[in-house]
Amino acid sequence: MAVRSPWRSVLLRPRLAIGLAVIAFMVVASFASLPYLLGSAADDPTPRYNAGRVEQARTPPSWGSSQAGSHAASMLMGSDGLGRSLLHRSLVGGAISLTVGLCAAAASVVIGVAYGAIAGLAGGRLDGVMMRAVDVLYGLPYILIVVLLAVAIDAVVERSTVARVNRIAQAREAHVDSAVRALPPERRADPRARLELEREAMLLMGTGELPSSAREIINIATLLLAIGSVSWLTMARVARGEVIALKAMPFVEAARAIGVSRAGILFRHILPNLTGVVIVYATLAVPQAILQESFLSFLGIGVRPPLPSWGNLAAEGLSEINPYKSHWWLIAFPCALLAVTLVSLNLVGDSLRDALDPKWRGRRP
Amino acid sequence: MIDGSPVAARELPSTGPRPVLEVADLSVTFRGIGGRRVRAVRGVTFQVRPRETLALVGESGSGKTVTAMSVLRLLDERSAEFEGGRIRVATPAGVVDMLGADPRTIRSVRGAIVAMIFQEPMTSLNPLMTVGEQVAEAITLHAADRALTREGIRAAMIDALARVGIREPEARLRDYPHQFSGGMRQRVMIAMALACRPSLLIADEPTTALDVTVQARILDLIREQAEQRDMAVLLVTHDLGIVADRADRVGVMYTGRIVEAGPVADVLRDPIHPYTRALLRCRPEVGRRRARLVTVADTIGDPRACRIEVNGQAMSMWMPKTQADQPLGDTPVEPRLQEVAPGRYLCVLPVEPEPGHDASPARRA
Repeated sequence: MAVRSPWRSVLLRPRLAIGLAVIAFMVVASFASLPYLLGSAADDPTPRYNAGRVEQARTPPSWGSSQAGSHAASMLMGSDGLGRSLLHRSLVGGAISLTVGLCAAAASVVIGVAYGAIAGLAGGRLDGVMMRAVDVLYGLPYILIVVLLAVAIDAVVERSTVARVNRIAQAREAHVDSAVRALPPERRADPRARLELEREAMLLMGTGELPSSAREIINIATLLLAIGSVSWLTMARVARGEVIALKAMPFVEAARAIGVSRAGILFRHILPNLTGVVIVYATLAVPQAILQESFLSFLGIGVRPPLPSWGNLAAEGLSEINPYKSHWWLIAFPCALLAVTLVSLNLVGDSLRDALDPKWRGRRP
Repeated sequence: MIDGSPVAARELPSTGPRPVLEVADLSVTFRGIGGRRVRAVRGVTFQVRPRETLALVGESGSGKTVTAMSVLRLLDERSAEFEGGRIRVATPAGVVDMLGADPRTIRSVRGAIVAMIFQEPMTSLNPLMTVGEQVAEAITLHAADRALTREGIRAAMIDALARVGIREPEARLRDYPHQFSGGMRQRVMIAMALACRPSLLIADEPTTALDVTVQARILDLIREQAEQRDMAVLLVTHDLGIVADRADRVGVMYTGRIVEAGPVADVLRDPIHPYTRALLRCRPEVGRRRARLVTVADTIGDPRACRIEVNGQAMSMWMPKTQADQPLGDTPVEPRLQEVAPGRYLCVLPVEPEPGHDASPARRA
């Protein structure tokens, strides 16, 4: 007999449909424009999202057509204090915020489900110890954890960079020395020959400094790690509770009674039954992570300028507000984008919870 | 006066063919919070011979389910503790001592030699797996020796479902448990349990959650399958009607002990133990009007009514219910099963003959 797919009725809910449409638009717009914005114009080597002309600083948004072509489009949201297009920066900022949000949510699902499932399955003393650790982490202010983590990773990166720079400098020295010794005796004392060899060694080995793009990637990865490492706590609690409930279900007992191994019970009978709850909490973890990223960037410890994110764009916008002349668009657009995205993600999460989490079914809080 | 020799339970002579299951002196204690210990099963001894149906009957909390779960080591052994005793299962590869076996051996017995069905058909199937997948899991788990092709498994699945009376088995393989009624789910459970041709089926209150008309059909199915497959059945129930109808022998359990055991017809027609009599008197009968139903506590309160003479020795059958919670050591002498007539066993404790009291109490010969 034919059964109606449960997805059909879920997708027909207006809240879910609107939320999904808005998110899809945001994701497509910010990621599809990335190749263009990360590239640079012919006359200027800086990437487009970061390129601006000072004479266009603080242009208000213009939807008219005083100028022509792509330039008019770039001024849809006006420009900032350096004359950079706010639209371009918002799009790149959106890509970064969404990436951080999705990755942090994914990390929290992986860590949280694994941790919670182990605690729930093991039970007894191990469960107690593991969950008390979660309680302790919950008690710490997460800003503190994030700041400490960021500082610690910065220090580690800095120290290893310095060590490598020194090591490579020594290696270059040794290389040059041995090359000088290989020269014919009459040229050994010639300082120009030595300079030549040093330039050669520099080309060959480099300085060992990290390129700025690598630093930016490490910076964002630190942020991800920091947000991911605090947001899995809720996931772990939810997964543990669910595993304990499932463990006592008769079908798990029945599986044991026909001789299924512990691993088989975990992977075939318990984890698949967690998916509904996990999907719901993962969807709700995404806006949480985006909000945290923006908050940290707003405070200046998240994504660092010149790389944009909705949070640090809003922070820049706030600094442009003054009693004499308000450049309202600089704060209004980043905040509006953030708010619309968060509301949409929460709409999706709530509808999914109504549909998939049996404990919430039919309840309207 | 009863004739017969006092035979200690552990030396019960095994009459007839070798038993499929032999439980001797089984005691199970649960450790609670704060070191509280509850003795749920105390010195239970019984055998199940090939092709017979043995019923364990008793009120809630009498230890019958714990006994059944112990056979397959399904109890959570962080809280349940076996204190001595033996559980032996006859397998084609020899007799397995379930209490001393390693987890791999225990898993090889589960489902393949001894299968089990449970009380809750509504929740005994994994809601996320199709019925076919679950039957296939049972078939493939213990089928390492048989070369199984996809077609072979499919044929075995269809055969297993057809045997338990599911119509159109081929179509229903793809259905999920929620598309089956309670009775049909219990049939699927039976199909899974019987998929590996076990020599013993433990049915733990298999019909308690089903309505009366379905009950009879499920019990018929179990009996019919047992006859077709030369399978023994250990039937755990609280329903004396089912015992009278379906069992060959019966063990009456009370406070964790088997208080009386013997052929069903003899025990039900001529109960010796006051508890068995009480249990029989508690049954509501259709057509008889009574102000209120008799409870067990009403009828076995008097220790003096529990005296009996076995082979010239004064014995007491009295077992106050509070004893169940005390550790074994608190009872000076444990009452044990003694054969009081051929095939009939009674749980008794030797006592001083009461002066002035007639040596042979009011007891039919």
